[in-house]
Amino acid sequence: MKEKITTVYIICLLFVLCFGLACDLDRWQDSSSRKQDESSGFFSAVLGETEGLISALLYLKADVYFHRGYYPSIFDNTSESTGSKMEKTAGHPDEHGHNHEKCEKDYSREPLDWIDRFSRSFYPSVHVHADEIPRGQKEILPWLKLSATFDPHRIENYTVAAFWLRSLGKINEAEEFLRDGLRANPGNPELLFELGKIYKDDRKDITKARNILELSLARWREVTAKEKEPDTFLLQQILVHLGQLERDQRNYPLAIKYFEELKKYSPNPQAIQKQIDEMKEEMNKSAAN
Amino acid sequence: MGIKLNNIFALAGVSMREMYRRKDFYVVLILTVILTLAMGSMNFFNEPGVAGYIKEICLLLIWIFALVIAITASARQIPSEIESGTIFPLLAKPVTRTEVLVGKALGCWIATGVALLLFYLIFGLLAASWEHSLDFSLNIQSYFAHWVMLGIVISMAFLGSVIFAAPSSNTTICLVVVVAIMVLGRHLNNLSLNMSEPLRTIIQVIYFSIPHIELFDFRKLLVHNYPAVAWDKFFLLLIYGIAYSLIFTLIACLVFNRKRLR
Repeated sequence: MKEKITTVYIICLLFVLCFGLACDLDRWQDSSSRKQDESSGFFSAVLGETEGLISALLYLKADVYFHRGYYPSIFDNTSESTGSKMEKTAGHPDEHGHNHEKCEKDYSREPLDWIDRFSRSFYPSVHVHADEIPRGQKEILPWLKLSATFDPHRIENYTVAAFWLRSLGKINEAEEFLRDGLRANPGNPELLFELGKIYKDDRKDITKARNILELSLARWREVTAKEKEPDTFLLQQILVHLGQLERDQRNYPLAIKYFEELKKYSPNPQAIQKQIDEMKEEMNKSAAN
Repeated sequence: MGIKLNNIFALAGVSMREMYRRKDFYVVLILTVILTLAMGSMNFFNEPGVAGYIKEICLLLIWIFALVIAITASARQIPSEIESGTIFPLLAKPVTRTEVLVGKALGCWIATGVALLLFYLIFGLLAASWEHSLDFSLNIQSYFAHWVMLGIVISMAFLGSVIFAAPSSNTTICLVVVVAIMVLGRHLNNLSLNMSEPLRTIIQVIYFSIPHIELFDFRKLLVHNYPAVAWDKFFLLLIYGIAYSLIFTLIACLVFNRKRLR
C-alpha cells in the first residue's frame, strides 16, 4: 500500500515537472517562432536553415530549365563561372540572351568511350537556351517563385523572374512579384532598381521611375556606406538609367551629374565623356537660341 | 535440360495475378495522380501552358514508384516460396527450377510493364492537357526504355533473391545499386582519369561491366520537349538492356539450380 502511494507521488511529481517544463518550452517556442515569423514566415518556422538549401536548389533548377536540361553535373568540368547564365542575362539590360558568346555551361568534350558516345543520344547534348524558343522562358518561372517561397531573402529570385516576366510582356505580374520581394526585403536597392526600370521602360511613368531610381541610389549608398570595396555594378546600372531618364527629359545638368559619377566606375569612361560632351553642346545650343 | 514455354507462361500468370491482388500499385497510382494534379493546380504568374515542372514531378514519381514496385515484388518471389515451403509441391510437379525462376521473373516484368503503361497513359493525358500537344514517338520510346530498364532491375533482384537470405536485404542492396548507377554510372570513366593505379583500372572495369541503366532515363528529353531519339540508336539501347536482363537471369538460374532449399 505504501509503495503504491509512493508511486502515485512520483507520478504526480513527474507530471508537475513535465507541465512546468512544457509551459516553459511553449513560451520559449512562442518567442522564437514569433521571431522567425517576423523574418521569413511559415517555411522559416518549419524548415529552419534547410529552407535556404531548398531555395538554392530550386534556383539552380530554374537555371537548368534556362539551359533546357543541358547542364553540367558536379562531375563535369566547366569553365570558371561566377553565377548562372540566366542571372547574367537578366542582369544586363542590353543583353537579351541572343549573344553568341561562349556560355559557362558549355561542358561538351570529346566522348571518352563508346558508352559515353552512345549515351549522348539519350539526354540533351545540344546547348539551347530557353529564350531561343517561343515563350520558352515561361518554364523557368515556377522554380523561381517556389525558390522565393522557401527563401524570401534571395533577391535574385525576384530580379531574374521580373526580367523574364517583362520579356513575356507580363508587366503587372513582374511589378507584383517585385513588390512581394520588397515586402520581404524592405528598401532593397536591387529590387527598387528593377521596379524603377518597370516604371521607366514599360509604364513610361517618368515621375514614379525617377523617384524609385533615386530611392534605389540612396539605398545603395546607405547599404554600402560601411563597405571598403562595394560592388559598383548595381550603382553603375542605377546611374545609367537615371542619367538616361534625365537626358530624355532634357534635364541636362542632372544627367551630366549622374554621368560624371558613372565615369568613375565605368570600364569605358571615354564613351561616357562623349555623351557628357554631347549634352553640354546641346545645352550651349539651347542657351544661344 | 529442356525448357517448356507453357510452364513458364503458367508460372508467369500466377505471379502476375499475385501482383495485381496486392494494393501497392493502386495506392501509388492514385498518389501520383493526386500529387501531379495538386502541383498542376498551382498558378504561376497567370501564365498558361507551363508544364515543365508538372512533367518533371510526375515522371520522378513514376520512376520512384515503378522502381520500388519492381524491386520489392521481385525480391520476395523466390524467398517467400522457400519460406512457406510451397516451393516443394511446386517442384514436385513436372517443372524445373529454371522454369520457376524464369516464369516468376517474366510475370513480374509483364505485370510492372502493364502498371507502367497505366502510369505513362496518365502522364501523357496530363501533359497533353496542359501543353495541348504530345510527342507520341518520344513518349512511346520513353515507355519502352523504362520497361526494359525495369527488366534489368527485376533480373538483378531475382539474382539477389537466390543469393541473399532475406528479401529486405536484397531490396535494400538492389535499390542502392540502382540509385548509385543512376547517379554515378555515366561519370565513372571520367572520374577514373584522375585516379592512380590500380584504382583507375578497377573503376574502369566496373564502368564497362555494370548495366548502364541511366541510359534508359529519357525524362530530360520529355520534360524539355526534345525530339524523339533516332530509332536505330533506340533499338540498340533495347538490345543492350535485354542482353543484360538475360545475363542476370541466366546467372540467377545457375545459382538457383545449385541452391540447397532447406
